[in-house]
Amino acid sequence: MKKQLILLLFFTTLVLDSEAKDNEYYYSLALQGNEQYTAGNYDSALTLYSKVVNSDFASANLFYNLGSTYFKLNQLAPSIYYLEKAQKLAPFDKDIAFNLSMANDQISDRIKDVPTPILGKSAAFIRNLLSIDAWAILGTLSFMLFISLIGFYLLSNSISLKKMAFFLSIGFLLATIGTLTLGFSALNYVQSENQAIVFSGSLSVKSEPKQSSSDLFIVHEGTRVSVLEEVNNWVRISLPDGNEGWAPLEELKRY
Amino acid sequence: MRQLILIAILLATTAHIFGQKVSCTVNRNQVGVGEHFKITYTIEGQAGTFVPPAFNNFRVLSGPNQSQSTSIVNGTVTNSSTVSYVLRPVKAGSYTIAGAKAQIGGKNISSNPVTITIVKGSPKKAQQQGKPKQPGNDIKDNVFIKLLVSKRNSYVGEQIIATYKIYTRLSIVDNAIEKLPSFNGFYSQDIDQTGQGNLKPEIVNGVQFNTAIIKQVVISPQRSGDLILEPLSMDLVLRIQDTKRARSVFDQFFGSYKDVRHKAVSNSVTIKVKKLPSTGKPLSFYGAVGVFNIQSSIDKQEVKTNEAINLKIVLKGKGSVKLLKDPKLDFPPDFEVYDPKENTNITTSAAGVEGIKTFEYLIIPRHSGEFIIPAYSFSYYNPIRKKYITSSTPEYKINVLRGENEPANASNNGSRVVSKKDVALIGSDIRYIKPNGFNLKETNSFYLGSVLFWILMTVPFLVLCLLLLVRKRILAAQKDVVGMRKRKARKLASKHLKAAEIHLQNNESSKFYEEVFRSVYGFLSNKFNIPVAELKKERIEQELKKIGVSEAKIKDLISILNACEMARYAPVSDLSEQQVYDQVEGLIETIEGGTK
Repeated sequence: MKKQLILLLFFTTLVLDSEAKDNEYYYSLALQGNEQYTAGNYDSALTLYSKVVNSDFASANLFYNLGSTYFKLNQLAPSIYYLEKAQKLAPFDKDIAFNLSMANDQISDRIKDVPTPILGKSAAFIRNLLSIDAWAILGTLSFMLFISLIGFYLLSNSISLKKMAFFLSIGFLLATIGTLTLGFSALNYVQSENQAIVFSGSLSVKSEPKQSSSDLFIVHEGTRVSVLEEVNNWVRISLPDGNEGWAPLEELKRY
Repeated sequence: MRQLILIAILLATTAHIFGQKVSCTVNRNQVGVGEHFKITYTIEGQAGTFVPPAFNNFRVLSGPNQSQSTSIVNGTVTNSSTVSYVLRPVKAGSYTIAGAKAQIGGKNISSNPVTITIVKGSPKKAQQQGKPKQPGNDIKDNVFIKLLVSKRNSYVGEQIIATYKIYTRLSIVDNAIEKLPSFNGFYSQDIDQTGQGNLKPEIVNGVQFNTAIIKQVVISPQRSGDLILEPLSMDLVLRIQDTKRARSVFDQFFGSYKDVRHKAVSNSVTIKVKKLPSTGKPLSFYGAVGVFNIQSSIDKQEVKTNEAINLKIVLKGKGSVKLLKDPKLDFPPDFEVYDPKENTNITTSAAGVEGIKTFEYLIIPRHSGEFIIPAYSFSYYNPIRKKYITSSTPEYKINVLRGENEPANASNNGSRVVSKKDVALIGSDIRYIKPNGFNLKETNSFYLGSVLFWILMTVPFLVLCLLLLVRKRILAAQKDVVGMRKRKARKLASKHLKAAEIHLQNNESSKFYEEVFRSVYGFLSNKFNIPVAELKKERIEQELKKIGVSEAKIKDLISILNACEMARYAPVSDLSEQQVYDQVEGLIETIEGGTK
């Protein structure tokens, strides 16, 4: 039993160690990418950044740099795609917002944005205040406090202390539920990939998920659409102005 | 010096040759066996000896027939003489008649050779044997339009000269262009043809034609691929000899003619256009192809504020000068720059488009300081050297001094009001990348929802449960401790009593009472789970009553306890030690029984 435990510990440290080494390697790649970008070699900067992103290591700043590089190379769709991804991870970063608006200015489609309801907006605002893991850690901590207060309540002899512990524990229970709800909703937002960027130059959106159906409207490279459902490599998309239709999945990139 | 002399000699000889040449023409180059044709040698210049070639395979029917002519035009004397032969081929085949040699002004000059094709039977008969005679065919051989291009492979933007030329051996009475070619995919500039409408003789395959240029254009392809130059077609009215209609004597004598309408269409030419190479393409390249030269000049480099500076940029070259855009100079943003004055001087000739484009910038510096007008690079593709060439203007340093009426930045009387301006945005670009702070994480690996998360969520709960369980155990164990004490009470009491008995036998009275006291108190304390300190006599009475011990027994116990307390200080007389011992034993027995 003891031997097994030691082995397990050994392997976890090994895994953690190798992960740290990977991280260091990709970090240096990203820094090299920065150097190339500064020197104006956007092509090689792109290769370096992409290497990091393709290895499933990512961060908002990395996505931001990659998107900016694509912008410099005049590749609008990937530029917007990565900047949107960066914004998803860091919703309050001003640089990301600025570059994204610069890139969006280049899109040929002007789609009227229907304002999001205030409730949804504020919910999103609160959700975006902290990162997913920050919400999770808060939730875990408040849950632990809740449990310890319940324990205190059950074990204490003094009635006044018992009372206080009880009310405090209810407060922490609510805090746990609240933070974890926000955390899971943020996780769902990040993992759902319910947005997409149009990658093809011009994409005619169909009324049905097949090539022969009639065209409804045309969107161009770089336009952001919402993905509603996916059927046989076709996705039902909706524009911010409410128009909906079907498009082949390979013409878009979900994020 | 020697080189100069050499060049001079060369020039002199070429000039000599220009005026002196021998050319050979035939009236037709396809002859049937048995037919005859005429070969004519034209000698320009003062003729010396003339040696005709050997006419192998031909029989000379007549000749040499000589004629001479002298003409004086604008005081220039031109001598020319012709020698002609009438020949008849002997057998069919293709024969080349070598050039004739002539000595003109002490120089041996040979004429061009001529190839003659001899057909079996007369060519006219051959035609009659085949299809019905087509008079057009004859005309086609004698009148045609050719499209000539200076090159068939070019780069995008390179200049090509296309010439539509009419060749005729018949007299043209009337002509009208029916369809002009549209130069699709080309940028075209017509070359002025005024004063070139005269017919010029030209020899094609040894047959002399009169030629005239109908249209000549400088074209530059605008895209890559195979581009087709369309044919030009012309409606002609030709005057041809009419042998059939010779009826009257006059006609027979002067020959009769008829006017024939004929449509002549030129050939079309496909030009292979290559893309400009992408390797080595400089950033300052905007599509100029040709040979260019850039120069710049500035009138002054030290000015006062609000004084004008003139900057002149001259682009000179051969190529698409007309399409050159005004140079985008990066003037210091504080300069007021007006749109440049453009001056274009272009000549389009058979050598291509050449020209000069001048841009004059009027610059007014509004603020003092040292400024730099950066160098302007102009790049073009040289199709001859097959590479990109960049030439640049020099960089100009402009020193702007403060004008007399210009307020100084540091005000000297402190009450000056400086008009403020918004910071002007000069350009827009995306913001710079993030230099570091890549908090690299594996994508889609979050703490939330991970195993660790769930462990951390369950562990406190389990800990709480465990805590509660442990508490329960401890409580239970605590309860047990009371029971144990109760159970052990008798044992402890009898232990003390045993000690008391030993003291009794040794006649140690005070020690005996002490042991008895301890035995009773210890027993009662354990039995009722009350600390010894709290064990007062009243409490003992109460507890004993609770378990139903009789009043008499309680009294006995109290009196024994009193006796024990007394015995510590003074010897006891009313109860013997043996009696006390026995009584205590009995009482403990009773209480033990009562509590059970």
